[in-house]
Amino acid sequence: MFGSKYLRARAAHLTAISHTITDVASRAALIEVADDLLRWADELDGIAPPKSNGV
Amino acid sequence: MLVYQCYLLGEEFRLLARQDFNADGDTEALATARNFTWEPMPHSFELWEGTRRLTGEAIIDQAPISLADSRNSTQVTAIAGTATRQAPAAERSACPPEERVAHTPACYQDGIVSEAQKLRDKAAHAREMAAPLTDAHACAALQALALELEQQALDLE
Repeated sequence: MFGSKYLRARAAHLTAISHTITDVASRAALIEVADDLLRWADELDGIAPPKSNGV
Repeated sequence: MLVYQCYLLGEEFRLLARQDFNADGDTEALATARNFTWEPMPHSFELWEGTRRLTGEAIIDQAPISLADSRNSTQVTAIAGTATRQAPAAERSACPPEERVAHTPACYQDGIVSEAQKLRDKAAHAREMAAPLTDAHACAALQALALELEQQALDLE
């Protein structure tokens, strides 16, 4: 079910994959998307202010 | 022989550990994952074969699941057994994500972006990030995420 826990789970998975990848650009992309999901999770949990834009 | 990855998740679904192993198929992989001994006991786990997830979606749907009270493998078996009966999000989708997006209103009437739309925006963002990547695993992971986020958006509506 969608929620902050879901987002954190997906971010954790991307981060884990990034640790197995040597290509710098690919790692950076995974980490950026993971960070974005974590930021949204923080917003949902009320520990970060909401962004005005969805992405 | 396929290579599987078992991810152990703690509280708040934070990643605790990863264990890679080989198995001849999903059934053997699931049996292998069930027999892992973890200290501390995980909150939940996900089993992947490359970018294909075997158990995670069902576990998240049922979350939170605590294994702390169950020190034997019975509950792990039950969770994994239930999870394997769940079809992946991409398979449950009745139509391609591109078609589903077209039928979804972008905003609520007050102009605040809905969570469903935000999920779709994140999915589009993940696809954009995946497009130029040279690493196939990273690219597939982001594309799989995009599909999953779109399915979540669909489920919200």
